[in-house]
Amino acid sequence: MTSNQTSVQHPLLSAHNLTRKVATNVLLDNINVQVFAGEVLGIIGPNGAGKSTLLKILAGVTTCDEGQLKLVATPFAACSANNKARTLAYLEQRPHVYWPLVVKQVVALGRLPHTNSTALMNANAIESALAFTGSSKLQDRLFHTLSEGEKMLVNLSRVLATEPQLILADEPTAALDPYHQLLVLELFRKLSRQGLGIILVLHDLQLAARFCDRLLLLHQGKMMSEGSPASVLSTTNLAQSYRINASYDSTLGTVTVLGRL
Amino acid sequence: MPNKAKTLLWLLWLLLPLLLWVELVSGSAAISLLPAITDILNSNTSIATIILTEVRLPRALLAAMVGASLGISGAAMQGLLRNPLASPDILGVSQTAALFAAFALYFGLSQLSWFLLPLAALVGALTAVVLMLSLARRIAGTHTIILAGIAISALAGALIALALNFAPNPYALQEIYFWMLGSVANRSMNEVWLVLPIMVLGWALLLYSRRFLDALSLGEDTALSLGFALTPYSWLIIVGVACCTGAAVAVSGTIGFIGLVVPHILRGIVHAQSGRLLWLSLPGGAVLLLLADIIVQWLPGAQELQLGVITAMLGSPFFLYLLLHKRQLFV
Repeated sequence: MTSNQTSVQHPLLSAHNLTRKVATNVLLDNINVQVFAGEVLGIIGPNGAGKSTLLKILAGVTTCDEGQLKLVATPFAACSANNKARTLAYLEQRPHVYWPLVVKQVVALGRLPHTNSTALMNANAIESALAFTGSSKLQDRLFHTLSEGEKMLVNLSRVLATEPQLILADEPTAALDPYHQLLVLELFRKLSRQGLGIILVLHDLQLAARFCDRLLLLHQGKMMSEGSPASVLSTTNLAQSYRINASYDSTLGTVTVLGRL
Repeated sequence: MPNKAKTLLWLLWLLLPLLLWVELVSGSAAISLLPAITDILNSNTSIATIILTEVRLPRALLAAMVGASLGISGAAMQGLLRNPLASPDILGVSQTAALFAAFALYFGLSQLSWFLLPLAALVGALTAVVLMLSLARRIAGTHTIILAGIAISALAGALIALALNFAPNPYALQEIYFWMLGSVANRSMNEVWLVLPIMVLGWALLLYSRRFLDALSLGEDTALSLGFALTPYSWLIIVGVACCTGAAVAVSGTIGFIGLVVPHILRGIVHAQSGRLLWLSLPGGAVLLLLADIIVQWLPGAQELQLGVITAMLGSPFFLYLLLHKRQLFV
């Protein structure tokens, strides 16, 4: 894989000076993001800070008004839609499956960016994606009869069936019980250790502190802080952005929220 | 599961020639098919060959073609709008086509040249989808598009009623009225040749978009992230639906329910992805409409029932049955 060699110098995905406006409202202001192979980047911030918008722009699902996006070394505009879709997979927040489909069919949809017909029908990729998330036993069930936790694992399998280098997931732990939250984030971390780049939008600061290698804190569309969990999750940062009184314990790697400010 | 869908597809394609044959031997005049075909091959003209080539063959072909076009249009619209209610007749595409055709009948255009009626229907179908889509550009959400479609349908229905009210003579009234009920009887091969290329173009456009419809079953953002550009593909489907529905209404009037019900029946049998459903709905619609047209001819009575009456009379109860017993059809 030559792309893995190039990614030693290049970030898998980089964004410079991203700005997004709706009328006079600035949703995102001058954002810079880079994610490298083998790391989990967490995007955090209070409600309405622009996390989901930023992730959609990074995924190429929404456009930005200003700024440059690059996939490895190629500007977004120069990538073919299929090539981009094969490299970068996007998992939206609680994705909906509109027709009664069997789990295996849902996962097979992840192969769609592979336009050549043998690659499209690649049963191995589908089976190993299901096996990776431990969902093989669900493959003949109807998707909409699954529990939220099972649905998330199947959606993750669908994204993995694409065999991407980069996964962008919007609040993958929303609506999950603690067991599945941990399970899903452990899977993301395992993927990153296998050389994938991962960007997660997370609400839960505890999980963000525990599973992300690097955090990006957004506040009112601006980058407030970026770096290791220890540096980003400082009491001052959390007070200014989330309006909470919280402290980060660097030995345990946990955040304790004491109350509202 | 894909194997089950493949079996069903084969079954439908095998059923199709069988039903075409049954359709060719049904009718008021009893003719034997084999001698008639031998006559045709030897270029002998007999009453049987005339009935076969000028009455029954166009009727059988049109029933199959119209059924296939309405079936695939319904499947494509449901896939595009991600709504089980979507179909060309419920969203006013058929009615607008019918309205334009009614104008052609009303002003006697259909008497000037035989192709003006089909042409008017085609223009009507295109007008409806373009109107629906330009409304949809301003308003977000597929539910709103459905509501816009229902409004267009109601408006077209009212204008047709207006045309009936002001019909210049009882003959025109009857002509518009019967044409509205939908039928493939008393058509010629001219009509077959006129609409076949338009329908084939429509089928091709819709089938070309099948993978986009597959992706769209996960929502617009995910479809985009899987590498599909929404606007160009949506337009392909819109033009495809307009070709299929416009051509169908042009030769058969408004035949309700096929577009809505065919994809649902097929979904009740296999859990097919939207793209595969297009392939299934093509022969599925043809089989269903042929079946309905055979029933029309077999029913006793001096006056033959109109095809549209039968499809709605049999289709609606069956659809209600599906709704009650196959709740997993809809998410």
